[in-house]
Amino acid sequence: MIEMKVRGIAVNPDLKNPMVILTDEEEKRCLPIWIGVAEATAIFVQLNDQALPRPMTHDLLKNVIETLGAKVTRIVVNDISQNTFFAKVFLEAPETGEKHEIDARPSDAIALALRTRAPIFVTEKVIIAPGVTIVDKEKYKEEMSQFKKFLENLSPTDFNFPGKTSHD
Amino acid sequence: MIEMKVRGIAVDPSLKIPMVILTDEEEKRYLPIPIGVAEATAIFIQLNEQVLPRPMTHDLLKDVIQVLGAKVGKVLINDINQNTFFARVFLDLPESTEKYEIDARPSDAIALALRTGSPIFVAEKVIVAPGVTIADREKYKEEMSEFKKFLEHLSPTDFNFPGSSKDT
Repeated sequence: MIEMKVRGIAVNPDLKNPMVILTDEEEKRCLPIWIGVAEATAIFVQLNDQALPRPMTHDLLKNVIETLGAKVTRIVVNDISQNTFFAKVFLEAPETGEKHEIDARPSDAIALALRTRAPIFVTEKVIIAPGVTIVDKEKYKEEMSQFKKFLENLSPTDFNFPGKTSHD
Repeated sequence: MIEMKVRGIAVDPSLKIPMVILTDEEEKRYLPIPIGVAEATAIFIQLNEQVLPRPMTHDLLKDVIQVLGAKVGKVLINDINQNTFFARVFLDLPESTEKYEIDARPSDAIALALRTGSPIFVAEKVIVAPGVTIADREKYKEEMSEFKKFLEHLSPTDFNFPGSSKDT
């Protein structure tokens, strides 16, 4: 199991789906994981320290965990099966010493880890899966800049923030 | 404070944004709340009892609350200010009799309440706000069927499910 950090969000030019890119400490290995647009946005907003007027879904998740006296100790991208990645969120309630493991999609686990400053781990099984990790940094730099452009062209109403229209 | 239930998801034809429609027991009053596409999808899936292969973000939220031994006592749409609706999630810890209130967007609170079977309340202040409640059933029936059409044209990859491409 190795610790990885979030390098950024990228868009695959062929499929137009966003990916979150994890890398190890030395940025030798990159692990791209396909995720949804909503989850990519949740990760992107947090990576860029954007402060939003209302709590987004992963902020609510963080607030619920903290309110109930628990902590996210780590998240682990622990498996891959038929092209689907799996993750676990590890919670600890310091007062009772109870520990819990919860099944999650990697996108949700990563969006939560960034908000709670919890470390992100990836199991060896995932790292060595065929075609999973890549080392072509230039290609992903390009795709990351494409995702930034994509986000720059979104309007506030796409994100459900206060703007010219009403919303919750 | 009155209890309301979720009548459905609709799309406002002029603004092209989804709305969740709440109604009181007798379906006399309708409260439409503009929300984001991701949150509308989370509500729609639960309303239609669709079973997905992986936990979506609000499923994770529900799982976290349950694992930590808490319960969602109720959710309350408690305020509206400059066209933004506000909500609160009420958590009970049965063992400690402590109660917690957490700030949330109505869309997240409702998506959660549907998953935990918790009642949804709306404050009088919100109900009586100018232009907020409506009673035009035909209009919303029409808009609800438009949203269903919109959803029917989405492909599995839009939802980040296992399908033709990798996902989380």
